[in-house]
Amino acid sequence: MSVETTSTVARVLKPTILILIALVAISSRLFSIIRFESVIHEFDPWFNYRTTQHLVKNGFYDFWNWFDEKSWYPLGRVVGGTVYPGIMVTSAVIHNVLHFFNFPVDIRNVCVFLAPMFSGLTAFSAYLLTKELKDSSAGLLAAAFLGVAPGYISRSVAGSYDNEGIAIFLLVFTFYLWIKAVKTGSAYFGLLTALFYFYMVSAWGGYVFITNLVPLHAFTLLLMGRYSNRLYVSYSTFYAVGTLLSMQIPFVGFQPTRTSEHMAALGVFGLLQLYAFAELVRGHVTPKQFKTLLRAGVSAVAVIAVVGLTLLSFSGVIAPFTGRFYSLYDTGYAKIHIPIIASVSEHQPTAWTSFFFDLQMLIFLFPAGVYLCFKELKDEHVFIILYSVFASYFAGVMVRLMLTLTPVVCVSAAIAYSTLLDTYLEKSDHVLGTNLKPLTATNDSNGDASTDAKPTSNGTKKPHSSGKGNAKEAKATAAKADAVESKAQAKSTAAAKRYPVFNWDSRAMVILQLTWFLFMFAWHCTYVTSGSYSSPSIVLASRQQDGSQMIIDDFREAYYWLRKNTKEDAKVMSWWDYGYQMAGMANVTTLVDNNTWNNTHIATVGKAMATSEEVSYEVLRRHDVDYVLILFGGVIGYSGDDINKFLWMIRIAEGVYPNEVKETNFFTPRGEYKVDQDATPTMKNSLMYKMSYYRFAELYGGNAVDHVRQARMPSEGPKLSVLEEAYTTENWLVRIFKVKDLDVLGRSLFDATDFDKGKIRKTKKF
Amino acid sequence: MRAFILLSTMAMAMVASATSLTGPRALVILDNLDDTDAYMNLWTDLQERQYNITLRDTSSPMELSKYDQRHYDHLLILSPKMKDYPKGMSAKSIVAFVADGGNVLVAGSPEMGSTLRELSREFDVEYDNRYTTVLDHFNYDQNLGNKHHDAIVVNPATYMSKAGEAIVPQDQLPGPILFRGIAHSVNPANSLLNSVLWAPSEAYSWENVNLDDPADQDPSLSGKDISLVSVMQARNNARVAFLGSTEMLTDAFFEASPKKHGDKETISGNRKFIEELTKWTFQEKSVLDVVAVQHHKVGEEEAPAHYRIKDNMTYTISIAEYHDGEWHPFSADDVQLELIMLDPYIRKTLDQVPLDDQSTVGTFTTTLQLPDQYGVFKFTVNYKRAGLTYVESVTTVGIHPFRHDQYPRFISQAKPYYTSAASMGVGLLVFSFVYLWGGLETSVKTTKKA
Repeated sequence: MSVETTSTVARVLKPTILILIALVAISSRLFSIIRFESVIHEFDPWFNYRTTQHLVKNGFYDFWNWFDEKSWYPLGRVVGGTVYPGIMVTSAVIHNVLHFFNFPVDIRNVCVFLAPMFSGLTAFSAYLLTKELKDSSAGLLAAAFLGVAPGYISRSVAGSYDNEGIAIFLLVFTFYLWIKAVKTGSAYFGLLTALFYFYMVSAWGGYVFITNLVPLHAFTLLLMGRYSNRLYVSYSTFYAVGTLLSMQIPFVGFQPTRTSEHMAALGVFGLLQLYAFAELVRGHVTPKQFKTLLRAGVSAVAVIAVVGLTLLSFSGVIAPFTGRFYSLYDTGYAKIHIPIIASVSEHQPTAWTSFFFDLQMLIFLFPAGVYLCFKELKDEHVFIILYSVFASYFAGVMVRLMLTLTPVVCVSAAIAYSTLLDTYLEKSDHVLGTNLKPLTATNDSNGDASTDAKPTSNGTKKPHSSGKGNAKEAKATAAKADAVESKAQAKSTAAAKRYPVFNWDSRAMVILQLTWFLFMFAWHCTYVTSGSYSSPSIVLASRQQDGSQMIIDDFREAYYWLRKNTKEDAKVMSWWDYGYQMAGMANVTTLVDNNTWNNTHIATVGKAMATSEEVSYEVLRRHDVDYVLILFGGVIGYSGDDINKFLWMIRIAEGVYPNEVKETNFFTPRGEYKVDQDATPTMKNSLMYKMSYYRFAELYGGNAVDHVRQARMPSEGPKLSVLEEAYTTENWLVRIFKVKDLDVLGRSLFDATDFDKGKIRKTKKF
Repeated sequence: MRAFILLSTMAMAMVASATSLTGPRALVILDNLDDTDAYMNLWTDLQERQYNITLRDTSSPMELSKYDQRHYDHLLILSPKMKDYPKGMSAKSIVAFVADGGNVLVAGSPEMGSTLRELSREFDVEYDNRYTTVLDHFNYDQNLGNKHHDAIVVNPATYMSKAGEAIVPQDQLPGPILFRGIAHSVNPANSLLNSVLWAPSEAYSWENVNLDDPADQDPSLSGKDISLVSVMQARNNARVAFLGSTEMLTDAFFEASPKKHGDKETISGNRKFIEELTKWTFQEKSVLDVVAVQHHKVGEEEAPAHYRIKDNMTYTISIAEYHDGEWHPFSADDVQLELIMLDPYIRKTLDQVPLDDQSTVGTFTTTLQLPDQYGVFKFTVNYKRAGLTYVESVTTVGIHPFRHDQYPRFISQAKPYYTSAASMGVGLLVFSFVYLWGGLETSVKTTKKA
């Protein structure tokens, strides 16, 4: 084949491959829908879904000013100001556009399919990003990898309607635009970066990663002596426009100017201005004067910056790092100081196996890719190196941040993989040689442009000039190339000395093995996606002994009961995990939910669960609670139930009410967490224990065994006086209790319950 | 809201025919139907007030309610000797009867059995031991209690609860109250209970078996600790009265002329006392009803779906009081409004709108500024006074923060920023003009060097 035919075929093949990749990415995310149904998954998506419904129904301004009276009763929640509206607005726009064209698509289906759709776009942006780093074949590989990598699929299967679903696309695309901006030095791409950064800010709290990584990149380039007008233009445009835009999101507000997380970006912005100013001054004064000026300037700026920052931090103008951020530095921090953060499973440190589980072969191609970036080390490669270093660290600290690591792993792995293919599929060393030579040359010229102070040859370099300017630039580069020719020559001869692989057998061995890896990778990804990441978690599936599937639909059963059988403004208390689901599915008022903004309120709920009936009844009355909902897995062995989460409730409650709740009282003298007859009195008296095991022994005629904790329960179960059982689902997974009113005769509810059971009160003298 | 007022007025018109708001059906349980004649005056009084009285003794089976429907509206237990409940009745069913809104009057006597003691204990009323009686050697009646000093004359001015004015008004009693029976005490911790009448300071409770023997022990109850008549208004506003004596309801006591040692003969206040007590117990008076609750922003008429922080708003509650078979406007100067979100944020006494001849309800109103705190607030009027129906009106309203367009558009503090933004724009324009058409070819070159 001639070179021309190859390029024509490639021109047709590339879009086809990309479309196919997008299709694969979408279809491998549909397991949950095919297996269960088109439902919203998990917890947070239910909130996003509910707010999207509100947005579609009541319009944007009403959504923007929405004060939700049904959550965080009685505090309420300013939804418009505490939400990243990106995903809701995206779905609403898609929904309205479809309806405009008379496609009557239900908003639920838009929400369910949003994340898979965006995964196709993510694959495309991975292609663009990698293309900037190496070439389009590496780009295609990266797109394919990111399309099916379980690390990304875990948060973007159909029905998983969460911020991350679109945020990863925005993350990758913003990075692509940033690299493009740095490469071209065009304000246009800087502006585009800022715009997509704004979209990212509106979509996910993880935008902080961008605000820190991009300045870090700029700062590193500065340190490496690679300051250029391109960098100045792109970063200044990005920072100024991006920051102003991000402040338009109410939830972010003035944070970019006031919190420590955003200070790095501001600092680098300032530094760049100073640096640019210094460069300007340098052109106007003699080197000696410049040295003196520089020294004076640097020390003055340093003193002012340090004093200013310290003063501002101490006076509280700049908020210190938030707890969630601290836990990124010290993994033990949250456990000691903020149990509410530590209690979230996705905030736990990552187990090392999950790196392999989520990325399979990519994880060992990843370092190779980073190494190859080191070898090239152009501006954009510096970025990828920084990205991979930081993302690896964060992914190791917090399970959730695996998500930010996955794109860079896919990109690096694609670079490594495609380099391998290049090496072993190349026809002759001729191609290799020609490829390498200009690469090294440009690399050198880039480096020289900033380090060497030669105003005569460099002064004309202006990135956005017209054809005339380009010609000039080309000339300059040519001159440059001449100047450093000897150096480049030396390097290219060194590269040419590498012996390419000619033998078909050794080629075949490597290529076959690599292909085999690809097969294994695809197989693994499908297996993981179908097995681990496609459960909607509101419907559980289990295999019975005869192999048939049993669907456990207790959650929806309970929520439906609440929806149909309680009064409209019924207040239901539960642990915060179920808040969003209850609001979304049962349409009841909740006390706390997954937006854990008020630790005290959550601790109060924890206190109500962890204390005796008398104490918790007061809490329940004060908060007008009508029903209490708990999860109990003892019958079917569902380990994610409330008794297993109970220790977190106790810890969180103890943080706020240390005199009323004490964690140590829930452990036996031997330090065990027991629920059987050895349980401590505090445990047995706690409302949570009583609710969980209320009438549990009766179910088994006195020989009850808790299947989660493998504990034999006492034959006599706990008594409840201030609550009465309202509903228990088929598999006992969800239990709902009604809070009794005060006794009509003014007795204590304990006396009243005893009287109802036929007990006679003893004589009492008043 | 207007429709609501109309409905309530219609409802009022309908119940006006029956004297008791609960209903006319009264069940009386006697130890023995032969005792019927002793209470002739009581029956007459009750029948005059349009009650259908059913008399039963403890041997005949009876049911208070069936299929969650009450068969009776009022229950008078005048059978202290009762050993077991009649068939179909139990302590539980009586408590359920009260919880369902039925009113109960229980009268005891020294021969009182454990059945009624256990029942009254559920109401935090503790009768003294069996065969004890209230004795008073100073305030006994010379006609009826000359022998044992057990029929005591109680002066309502001294020994009747001042707070119980809504139950039995003192000034309407023609004379002192005559009492012969058992003492009881009430749990002071139970805020639903009120003693209406208690024994004179010199009285004590003692066994009535060997009254001639000297008292060689301290009495278990004495003086004002002894309640003679006490009442409970349950949380659902059902009313229950406890008497220590069946005799004080009899014709003999109604028509007696009590005479203390050394005093002149007077008229017995028993008949009036019992009339007022039964009127109260059977919901013929001191019944309050919240006819309407209105709230709106100042200058508006309709209640908004929610308020905004720091709104000025008006809250109005209309309360009617039932007595003498009709609804009247209720008047008071201590009705308070509370704005509660976990804690009260505002507590304010409501002003009564002056009454005129036309007014059928008492209207209490206030205008206030809402707190600078958003959330779900309860506008609560929690008016609980001894003897009056508990008024607990809760209106849940959300108070929202400002909308995005309700903040001031331009603020003076931001003027430096407006100036800077404007000057920046102007500067850019000027610069562009100079750059493009200013003909500064040489200066352009130097700037480009940076």
